[in-house]
Amino acid sequence: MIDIRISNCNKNYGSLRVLKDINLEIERGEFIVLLGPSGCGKSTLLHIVAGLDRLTSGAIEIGGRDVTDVEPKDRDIAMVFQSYALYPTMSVRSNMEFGLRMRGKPMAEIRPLVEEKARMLHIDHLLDRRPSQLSGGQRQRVAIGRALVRDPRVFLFDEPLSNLDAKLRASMRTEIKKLHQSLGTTAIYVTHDQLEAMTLASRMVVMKAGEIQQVGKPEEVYHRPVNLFVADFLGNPGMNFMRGHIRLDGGHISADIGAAILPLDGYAFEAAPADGQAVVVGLRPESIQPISGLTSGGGAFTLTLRPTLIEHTGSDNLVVLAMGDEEIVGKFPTDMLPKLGEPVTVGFDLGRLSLFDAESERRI
Amino acid sequence: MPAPTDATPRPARSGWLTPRRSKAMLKRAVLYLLLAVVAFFFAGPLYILLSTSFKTMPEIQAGGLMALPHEPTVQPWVTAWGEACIGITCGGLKGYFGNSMVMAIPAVLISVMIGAINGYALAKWPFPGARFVFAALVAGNFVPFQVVLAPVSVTLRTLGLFGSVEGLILIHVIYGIPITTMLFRNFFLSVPNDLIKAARIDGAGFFWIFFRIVLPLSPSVIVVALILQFTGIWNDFLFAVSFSNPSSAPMTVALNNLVNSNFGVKEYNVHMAATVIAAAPTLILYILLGRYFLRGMTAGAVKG
Repeated sequence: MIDIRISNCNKNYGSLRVLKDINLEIERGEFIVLLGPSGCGKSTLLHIVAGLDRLTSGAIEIGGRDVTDVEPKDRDIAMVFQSYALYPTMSVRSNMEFGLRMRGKPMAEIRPLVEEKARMLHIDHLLDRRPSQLSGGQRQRVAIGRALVRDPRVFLFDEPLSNLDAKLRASMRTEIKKLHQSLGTTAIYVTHDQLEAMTLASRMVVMKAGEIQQVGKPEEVYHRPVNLFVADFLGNPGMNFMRGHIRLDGGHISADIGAAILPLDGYAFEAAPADGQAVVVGLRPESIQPISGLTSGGGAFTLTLRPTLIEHTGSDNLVVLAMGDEEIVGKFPTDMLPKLGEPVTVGFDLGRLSLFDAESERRI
Repeated sequence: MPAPTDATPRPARSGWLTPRRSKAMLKRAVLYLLLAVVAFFFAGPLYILLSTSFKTMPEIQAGGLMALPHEPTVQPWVTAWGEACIGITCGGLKGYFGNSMVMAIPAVLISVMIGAINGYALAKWPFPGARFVFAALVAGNFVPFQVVLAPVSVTLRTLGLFGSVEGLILIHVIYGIPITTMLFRNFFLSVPNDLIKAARIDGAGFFWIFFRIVLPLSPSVIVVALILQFTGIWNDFLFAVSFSNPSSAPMTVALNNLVNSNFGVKEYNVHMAATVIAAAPTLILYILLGRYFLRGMTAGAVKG
């Protein structure tokens, strides 16, 4: 069942087109993450779903009802802000009660509801404090609690964890995921943090310059990016890109990248390649490993390369390898580290390879 | 100003008057001297005002402006408050003091309230033409009141409010709105937009958000607006003298008529007492709310 339908949505600020023909359908219970660099329009899209921004043209449906011209309060949504947006002069309790009181719910019903949700979020001992007396993590819990008590049809999150430090962010991320699993409420979550997007999303929407680039399950978007932008935006360290051209040679397809010729017989082409077509080959660092570390099939392809730099990140080791005039990055387990300058045999997991047309930058 | 302190014990010095220390002392001395001059400049007149108001007329005529009263008397105060002749009536200032209160209190409250709502709308609910409205209001701050005397006079006559306290209230409210609006708008710009958005999603409307969320954040700017408006309206002479009649005249006009009357001996002690009475309400307001005023004036200068 479709819970939210965004149809042909455009938003202009004067001559600036912030959103261009956005179409998106969200199923009931999905956790949708809008991901993109700053200025890509993801927050604007969220504000439009919330009703805080007017759209220039198009329509928004929530729960089968056209809400394009409906006030935010009548859309059956609740929102969590990056700045928490707690009412500074009210206690935590009053903050959580506010929305229900505005809706004229009797206090006798509000009280137990607020206390229940506060216990759920472990903030029941903070109910009589002011927001200024709370830490960042506690404030964000209160903000989530304020959204929870309303029991809305849709949760909207606008970069809720961006103001927290790294460790707290990770634990709050887990909690939001658990919360969604237990409540099953439809959610739209805006972030520029790909780790949040990958871990939280049931489907993610990658945006750039007001346009949707790709919609899909996180692993699908990660492994089969539809264009160079998505491929480059996701992953840390980023995908290796190697320029080259297609060779069609008696039934065999390969990509000539100068330093090597990569066989592409196992590659699932989306469009028929042409001989000599200029392409960009993309391969993630985890698909470039010492030969014994490779796990997935798809034809082991090996090259002997010279390591020029090794970076230790703790869990992984990033090895920079010279390949012709260019450099590529591979991920090596700690017990298989090569020595600097000594050539090492490296396996390429070509089953994980992505191929893009050099001109259109689209996946082929 | 707190003196710089050093937590660690100093090593023994050959003499206490090191070059560094003597330089600091010189600076300090200059500072105190300047402060003393400024304090004298402002407090001197107040001292003369107060001491003269407790002197008898013979003592004043004997000279000695700076001397304290030999035989202090409160008679000048009693006269100024209830007996002095202003124009043709001899009932003292008390009636005019009442006029001023009846004029200033509603005018201050109404102009501050309207300014707050205007400022809130301009800062947080952008509407088409909001920038133009704000620009016009800002320009309103720069209109000299002399320019508007004639049109206001006609307007008040048309409304049948000429010479009444209500007419003065109306004029003070209208000419108070530009400054209060500007004050509140600039303050409300610092209120996070997310707060307004969160409240809108929670179901609060324009006025609910104003009274429950925005206004409780603004005690300092409210105090600034109240003090500015009260001082301005209480001390106003131009509108008061132009649009009041003897029965509705506020303090400023009465004081002028008392001090500038040409009948008989000039009773300086009564004049001085009357002047202090006229200045008392604004003085008391500053003393009571002064610290909020300072806080409000610097609010936003330092991120809290």
